[in-house]
Amino acid sequence: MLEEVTPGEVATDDEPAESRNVMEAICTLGLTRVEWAAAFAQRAFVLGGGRETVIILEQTTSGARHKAIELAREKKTDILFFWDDDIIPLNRNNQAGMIAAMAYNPHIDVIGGVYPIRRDFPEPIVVQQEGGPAYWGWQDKKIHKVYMVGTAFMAIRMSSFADIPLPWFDDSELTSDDYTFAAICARNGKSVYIDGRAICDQIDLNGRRYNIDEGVSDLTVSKIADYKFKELQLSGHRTIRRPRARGSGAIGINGHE
Amino acid sequence: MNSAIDRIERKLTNLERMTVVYITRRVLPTDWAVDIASLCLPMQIVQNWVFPESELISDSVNFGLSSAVDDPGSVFVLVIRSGHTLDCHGGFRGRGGLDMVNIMRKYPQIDILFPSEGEFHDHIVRKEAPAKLDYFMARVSAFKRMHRYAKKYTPEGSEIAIRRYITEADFTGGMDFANLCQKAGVAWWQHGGVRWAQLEGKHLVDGYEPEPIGTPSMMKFFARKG
Repeated sequence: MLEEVTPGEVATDDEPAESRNVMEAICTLGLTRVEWAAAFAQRAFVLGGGRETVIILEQTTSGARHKAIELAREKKTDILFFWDDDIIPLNRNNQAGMIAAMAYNPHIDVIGGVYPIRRDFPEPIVVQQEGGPAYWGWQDKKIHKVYMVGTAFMAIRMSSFADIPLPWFDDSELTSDDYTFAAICARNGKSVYIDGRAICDQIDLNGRRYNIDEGVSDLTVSKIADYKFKELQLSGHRTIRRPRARGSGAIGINGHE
Repeated sequence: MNSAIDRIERKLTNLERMTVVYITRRVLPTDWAVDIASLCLPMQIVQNWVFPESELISDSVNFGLSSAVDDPGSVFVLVIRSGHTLDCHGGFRGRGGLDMVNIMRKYPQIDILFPSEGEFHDHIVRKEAPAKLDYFMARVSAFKRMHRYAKKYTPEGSEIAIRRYITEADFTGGMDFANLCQKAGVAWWQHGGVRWAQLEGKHLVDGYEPEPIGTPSMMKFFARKG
């Protein structure tokens, strides 16, 4: 059926969209796993906005973060995205989703993904209130306001922090750069959010992988610990299951082999 | 109306899949991983990445090629060996990957396409023998034509039977793959406008040197039983 030909109606001008030039900073000691390479190669892009990738070789986490911030300021980047060399998002769209969330929500100053701590009991590195326990409310796949997120897969709106001098991170004397950055944000009234869609694994160079859903996979824990894992209930009604057998010829990514 | 479209005998969609076979190590330098991720490939093509691992490079390549053949949707296969040894750290320069795919799409007579290893030239030329087998793009159908001559074998330590397209000798000047292609009528071409070159760590930030860190020996991963 043919459309009727009319002069059309011109809409009023839209509000200008937020600029979204992204610098993704890969903080690394120089080596990574092939699983990370696969995840990084498959990451999706956000339409519009530039993207620059820099690799920051540093001895300390906070040193690498600060070097990236200096570069982002120098290049007037809109969004600085930290992606450490041991973080594997489980969906190729995770990074794009976080950047889009930030671009369409100007009130978000910081947004992070969900990834577990490197322990046999891999709780997510996200806290809703200062001094509180690990936060599991992100399981509804929504974006929640929180107190602290892990900084290894996190986006910062640079304009929000233009007047805040460095240092923002400190991992000396057993403090965590995650917590020091959360304190900086709280002190300066900056909003921090967690993206419940962006769930990631952490991986060691030896292949040991920390997964929130399944506990530690490829693990070498004692049978006693394994038995406890099977029974362990987390808040939010999650059960850590036994690791799946691995070892096929091809490495699977995002459910495909 | 539809019959006219049918006669074109060409899909009007870009649903061709490309299997990317990445021959590397389990642990590799981060900048190599980032460089390979930055390969400029067409947006319209669906990529199926395969990361085979084995003690012999030929087993890895054969596994990757067999995976492409077994993947019902794969039309092209791209083999990259980077980060496997210190002397194989390369990538397509500029839009090279995109050009390689587009040329393969445009000229169906090209079975296997190698990039140039030397100076640029503005021709796509027939080659008498395969170039370096570390990086090439191929039509999956070409490997299916070799099945009459490429027998199946089971690599040591594996339970999966794959076809032996390439032998270990081919990486040191052997002619096994060349002879196989000749028997199957598979032609090699070289794209003079695309260069594969050693990467220069362009993403690295100047002035920062990595501290040597303890890396598990690769032999640990590939150790044979007994």
